[in-house]
Amino acid sequence: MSQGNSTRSSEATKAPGSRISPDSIMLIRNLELRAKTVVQGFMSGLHRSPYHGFSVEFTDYRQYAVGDDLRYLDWKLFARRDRYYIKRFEDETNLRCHLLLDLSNSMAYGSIEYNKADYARTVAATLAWFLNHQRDAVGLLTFGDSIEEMIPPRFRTGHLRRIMVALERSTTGKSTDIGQPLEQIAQTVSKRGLVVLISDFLTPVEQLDKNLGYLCSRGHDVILIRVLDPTELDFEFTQPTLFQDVESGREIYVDPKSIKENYQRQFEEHEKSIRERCQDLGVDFFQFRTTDPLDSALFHVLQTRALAGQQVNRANQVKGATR
Amino acid sequence: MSFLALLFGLGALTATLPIIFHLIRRTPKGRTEFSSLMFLSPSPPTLTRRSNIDNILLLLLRVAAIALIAFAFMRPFLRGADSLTGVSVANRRIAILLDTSASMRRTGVWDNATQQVRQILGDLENGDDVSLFTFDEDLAKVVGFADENEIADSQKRSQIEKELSGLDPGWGRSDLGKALVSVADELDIWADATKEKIDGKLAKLQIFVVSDLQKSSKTESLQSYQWPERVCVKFFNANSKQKSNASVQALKPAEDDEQGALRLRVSNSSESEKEQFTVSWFDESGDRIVSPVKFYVVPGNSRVIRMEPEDVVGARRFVLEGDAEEFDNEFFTIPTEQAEMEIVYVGEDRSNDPNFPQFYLRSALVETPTRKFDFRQVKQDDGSILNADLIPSLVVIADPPDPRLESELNQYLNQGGTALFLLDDFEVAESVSQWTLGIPLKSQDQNSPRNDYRMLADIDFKNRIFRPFLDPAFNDFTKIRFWQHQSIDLDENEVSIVARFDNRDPAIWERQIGSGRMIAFASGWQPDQSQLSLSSKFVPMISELVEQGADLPKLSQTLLINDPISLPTKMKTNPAGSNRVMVAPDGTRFLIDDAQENFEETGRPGIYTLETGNSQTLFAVNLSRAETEVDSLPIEQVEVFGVKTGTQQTASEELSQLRDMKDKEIEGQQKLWKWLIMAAMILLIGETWLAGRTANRTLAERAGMAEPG
Repeated sequence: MSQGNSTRSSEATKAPGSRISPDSIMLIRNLELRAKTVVQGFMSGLHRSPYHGFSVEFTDYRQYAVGDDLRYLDWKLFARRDRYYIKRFEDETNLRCHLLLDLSNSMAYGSIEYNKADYARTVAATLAWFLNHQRDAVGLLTFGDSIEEMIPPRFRTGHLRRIMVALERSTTGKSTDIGQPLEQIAQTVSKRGLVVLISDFLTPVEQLDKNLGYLCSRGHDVILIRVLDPTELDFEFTQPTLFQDVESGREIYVDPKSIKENYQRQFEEHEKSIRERCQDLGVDFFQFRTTDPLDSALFHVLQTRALAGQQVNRANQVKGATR
Repeated sequence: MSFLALLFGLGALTATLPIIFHLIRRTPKGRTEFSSLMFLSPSPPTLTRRSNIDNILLLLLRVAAIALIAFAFMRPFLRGADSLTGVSVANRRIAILLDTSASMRRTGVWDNATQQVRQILGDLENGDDVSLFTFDEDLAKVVGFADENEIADSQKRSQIEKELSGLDPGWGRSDLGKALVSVADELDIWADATKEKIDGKLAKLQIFVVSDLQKSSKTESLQSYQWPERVCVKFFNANSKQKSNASVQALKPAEDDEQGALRLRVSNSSESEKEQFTVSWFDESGDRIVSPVKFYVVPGNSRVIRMEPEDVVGARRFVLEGDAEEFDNEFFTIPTEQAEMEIVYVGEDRSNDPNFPQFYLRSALVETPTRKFDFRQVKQDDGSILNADLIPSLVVIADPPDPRLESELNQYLNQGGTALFLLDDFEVAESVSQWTLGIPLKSQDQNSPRNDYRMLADIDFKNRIFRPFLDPAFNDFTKIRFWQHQSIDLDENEVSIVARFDNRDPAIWERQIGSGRMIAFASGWQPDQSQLSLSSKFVPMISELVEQGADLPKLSQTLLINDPISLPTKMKTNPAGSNRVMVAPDGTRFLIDDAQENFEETGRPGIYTLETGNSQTLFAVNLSRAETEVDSLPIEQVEVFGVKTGTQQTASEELSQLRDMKDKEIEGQQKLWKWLIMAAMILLIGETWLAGRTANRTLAERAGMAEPG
């Protein structure tokens, strides 16, 4: 079951039925093949879904008004209905998507066969593959305590392969510094686009605040995808033991029974504060366990984009009607 | 078996540590990696228990080794028969000095003191010889030592407690030095005397002083005393927490104060908590005279308040109010009256002629607030010596008296009068020889030239005439030259020679006639006879003569507790047939003998009244000002004089010390601890070997299990 939800759509929709277990997906060693499997499984399920019609490129019609460009007049519809309709497109340019992937040490943590970084790579690869096949430009930026790899968004032959290779060869860094990649994107990318940040967000909320706000102000659509291990959420430890921070190496003695409640409360407060910040900035926020089906991520991202698109279309309709 | 250091036995408890460490252990430090510690807080370490012992032999070896080491530190030894058999030690001879001075009357102080004495008695051991002394200005023995009273030790304490309950603090001034010296001397002398009896053992002489230890307590006696080394003094401070005290004292009028206003000095102690006081004064009947006077006195300071003479007329008692301690809040005084004294001059010379003695006599006696002089000149056929209203204080005979005056003079002398015969002339000297007992000789000094002179020699400074010059600073009479004098043939057995001339001729002598007194000068004091009237000695001499004649009581303001009151002896104050009675402030009546010169029962402050027939003479007795100063005396101030402070060992303490020394000696010979340490070392070697063997075996077993097949 997906833990992901959006600050815009919250519990609105469920991902379509047939899902492939992430355990099985993760057995596929080739990342591109893994992404393709996820997307294809998602697409096949999509045909059976009552929620058809979701797409980044949704088309719309509105009545012709004097002064409209005749190039967009739908003559076939005029033939059937004997009325003039102007054909409208959702977006007149290709989407430019920046995938920002956190590969700090904390992402290397995993209590099951694969870790958060593996899951996050697969999510990134899935999105990249899907968008590439929609002819959208996709770029990649991996970071830990500094920026490791940066591939600008392109749509050309071999670009997807390049992204896949970069994802496969990337290793985890040390600590997490979310501020730096966000700052980098904000400074270098002037054209509006989609920014997808995939991380566990186990950092102080204040680090996110400034740069997210800056990105939003530049007109970017931002999506945060949080990947968490089930143990981080449920804290199912029983024995008192020394807990070592995988990033800093610091050790503290912890009796899980006595602090579990306090841990969960603080964790929820942290999550709540991230959500509140996102809501304030109009940023989509999704949270996934590494046990959640991988296509849920894709589904929720697309769903969110679709809803955003509807809103844009409605805005355009209103705008057209007033002309 | 005995031990030198039993406390080290507690170290044996550490033998339980191996067991505790074995049974209770800390949770193993497993390590779990976690993505972030930002939501985790450290937990306190927890202990877990296990109830089974794995290797009991190893454990027993460790416990035994620790126990043996602890046992060795206890320094065990084997004591044979009682090592102190036949040893005996001296008991203490203790003198308890209890302060009964006036300052002990302060709130709670006396209770503290008696409680401390009882505490001392309770801490005594059997065999301690104890005595109880009280002291203020004088030392008094309340209960003596056993060899003085033959009271059994068992009864001694109850006897002291009984006496203690009957004691109360007095009004005297504390003289700590005198008391310490007296008691230390007594103890020291006893120790010297009984040296043989106590088999050469050192006498343990102890003085316990129970006092409020006020700073003003007299310690001068200690300065000139060599403190005996064997006498120890321990001080018990009976002071209460209440340190506030103020006192009041009346002062004489200031010398430059023409009105003669009385002054009151109010002193406040340095640790006092009060600053505001009130002074009231009461007359003879105890009524308040005017409304009370309020004023502030800063702690540690004193303040003098001037009282207008008209305000204090008839005041007998000044009372300080607002002070916490009442013992020194009263000051008694009697109104100062101007004594009227009549001087009779028998002579023919003119009073304003500087060539004659009368002129100088009148000039010397000046009226003061306390004295008034009434001069009367009597001539051969004019006037009489005796006066119906006033008996003359002094009769000066400068010319030969006629028979009428002779009989009056005899009568006057028999009534206790004082007559001064001025033998400046051969005729005068011859005519008065019946009183002076001196036959004048024709002297070659008479009419001798001025360059030859006589001086006074062999002066009796204990005589009342010369007593003002007793101090060496004032007793130089060599500058007084006598140009002329009468050489007198005197029966020296009948008279008392007061001074002679440097040629051994009698210069001044006196003699008792009836109840009265005769004084004779063998020269005149006018300038043609001598330089006496021009010298600074003349006025004090004449004043003393007149005051002797008047027999004035001393000023009462200067009398303190236990000061003797000098009683007037003159006939006029003691008419025939009437008894003299002194009434103390508490109403006690003391019958005074005719011969008694001093009254010494002045142990209580207040107004003492001497009743003689119908007349009354008042004396005010007050507390010593020093006794009202209650600041604490530092013990170091007493130690400076060589006083050895501390306590002597009791018999049981000394026995215990001897036993300890003997035990150390035995233990030093036996040295059992070495064997115990050796045994512990052997056990530890065995433990090490066993532990190593066990560890090897475990490793071998694990290795065997690890190999396949």
